[in-house]
Amino acid sequence: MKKNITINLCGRLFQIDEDAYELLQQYIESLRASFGKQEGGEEIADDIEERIAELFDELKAKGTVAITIDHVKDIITRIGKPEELAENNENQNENQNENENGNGNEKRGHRYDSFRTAASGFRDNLRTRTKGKRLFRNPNDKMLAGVLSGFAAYTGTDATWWRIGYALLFLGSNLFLFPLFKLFHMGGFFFSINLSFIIFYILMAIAMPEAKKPKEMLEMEGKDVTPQNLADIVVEDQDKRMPEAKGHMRGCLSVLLKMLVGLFVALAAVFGLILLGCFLVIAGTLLFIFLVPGEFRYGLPFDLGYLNLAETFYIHPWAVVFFIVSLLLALFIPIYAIAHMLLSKAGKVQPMGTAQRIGWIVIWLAALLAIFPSLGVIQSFNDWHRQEVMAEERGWMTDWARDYLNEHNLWIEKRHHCYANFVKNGEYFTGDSTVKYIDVVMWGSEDSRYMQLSSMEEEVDSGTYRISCNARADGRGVCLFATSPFNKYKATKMVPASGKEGGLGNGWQAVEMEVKIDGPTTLRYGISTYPAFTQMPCHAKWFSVADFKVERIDDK
Amino acid sequence: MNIENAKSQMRKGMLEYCVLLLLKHRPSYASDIIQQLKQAELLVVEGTLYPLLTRLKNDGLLRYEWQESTQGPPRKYYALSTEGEQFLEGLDAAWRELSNTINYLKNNTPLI
Repeated sequence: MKKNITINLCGRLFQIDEDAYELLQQYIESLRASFGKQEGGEEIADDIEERIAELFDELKAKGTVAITIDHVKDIITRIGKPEELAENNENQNENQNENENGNGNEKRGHRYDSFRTAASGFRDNLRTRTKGKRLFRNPNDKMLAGVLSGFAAYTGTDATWWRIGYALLFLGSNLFLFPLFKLFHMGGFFFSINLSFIIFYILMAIAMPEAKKPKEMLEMEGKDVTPQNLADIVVEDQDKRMPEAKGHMRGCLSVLLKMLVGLFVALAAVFGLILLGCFLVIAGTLLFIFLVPGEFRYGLPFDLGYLNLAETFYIHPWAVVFFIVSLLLALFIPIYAIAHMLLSKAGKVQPMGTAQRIGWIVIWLAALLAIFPSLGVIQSFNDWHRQEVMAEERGWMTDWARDYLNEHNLWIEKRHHCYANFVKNGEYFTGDSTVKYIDVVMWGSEDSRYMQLSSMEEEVDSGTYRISCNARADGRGVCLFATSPFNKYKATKMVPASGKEGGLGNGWQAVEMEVKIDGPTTLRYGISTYPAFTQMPCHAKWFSVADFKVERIDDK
Repeated sequence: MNIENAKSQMRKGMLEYCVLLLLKHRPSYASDIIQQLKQAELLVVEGTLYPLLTRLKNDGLLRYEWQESTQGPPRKYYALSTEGEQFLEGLDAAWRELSNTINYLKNNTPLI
């Protein structure tokens, strides 16, 4: 069924199909255009219009009610095409010569070097392809707005290649942007979309007009505007409008849309899984805390496997979650996929559609990718943590503390769970706030903490020696000691637990003891809370010590 | 195909003469002229006539008047002008010469 309109041709009304009307209009316009150049040309065109009206009258007289496109085609054939009518032939010959000369230029180009030949060949090719054409959006082959299809029509190429190329460039530029963002530390999971491709498409869609009229369609493809061609276009248009399947997914966007849909599905699934993962991790951690005893709770790096996930979770919860979730996904998606494939082969389950497949693949890849950064965070945290602990073990301290110890020939023989600043000033018993002294604060349980500060070994001869120091402590168990190799000659004396009050001032006490040595040997002295050495438990949380002195008190 | 081209060229040349001849016998509407020329197979494409008629009119060989019709709008009614008749006589003479020449050639009669 076609739309029919009423036209007024030379004062008479006719019922004509819309497509026939369009063809007729183009014909009359082209006649006027070609005759317009001549003197009296308008009159000729009028006469021809009159003739057409006469022929329409004959049709009506024979019983035709609606003038169809076939009628119009016949009439055009009878009356003749504009170029057939009189003075146009010479112009046409001139055009033909021009075309041949164009090709001749191309041949001359071969004399130059090959790059120039290629360039000029390409240019001439493009020129030949686009000669006489106008850039329109192509409505006959459009997927979205017909932009790329319009380019294809203009260059005489296949639109599919343009679409593939554009989609690839779009995706490629996005994949390329992602590592760039990482390189410039613009956040871990930054989604990069290269908007310029989308913007360019929209701009082109606005700037390029759509070829609506048959005349424009011919210009788009560079065909001559002849009534025969016009007729063909109109008929083609009819054929195309009918069976166009609206359910067909649109091209250059099609694959992208599917991937985006897959991505959204993936994100939703990941979100759900993250929630699940959180529960798992929290449950695991709680179990861990309650089931594993004592000091291992505090995250020495050898408890929950190598990774210390429980401890890391307090500081970097998201990293742990991502890690676990990604690991699970990366492991289980392939298993699920294989299972699904086997089941669908066995006919139990419908095979997955393309969108689903793409979705699962995207999730899987994202999971694989997510493992690495999250693992990195976990490991770096563990490294830092381990270093902290090791530093404590090794006696990490400030420079001036280290200097003090060196000055006084002291070194930290043993320590566990002690604070790092071993040297302080300000609470010396004389009231002089600039005097530095050893000051140790311990934490952790009484079983676990200890400290042993020792001097360098000195060679001594036989005799009796008095070893003394000034010290204070807030509990029992801090002992002044002196010892020789294999503890052959050993003496200890506990520091009074007077806290920060009294004594010499600020809780300081003078502590001294004597030891008798036979034969030349080496002697060390110091302060210790190490129960195995002092032979007593240490209840003190802190102590201070200064002014170590060793003097021989006999006169051998 | 070349014979068709040759015929077409010959017809094109003769068209003007034929139109004037037709109009000499009786004035006609354009559609009548077309009908008769088509019958004589002198005209293939109708549109060729109109530029010709206009040219002849501009050259003063034809004239037309508008004739009212009960069936539709007024139509152009063509006829030879006085100059046209004179021109036609000249064309007649030219035709006779041409025709004789061709007959001689066909009969292998030498022209000289």
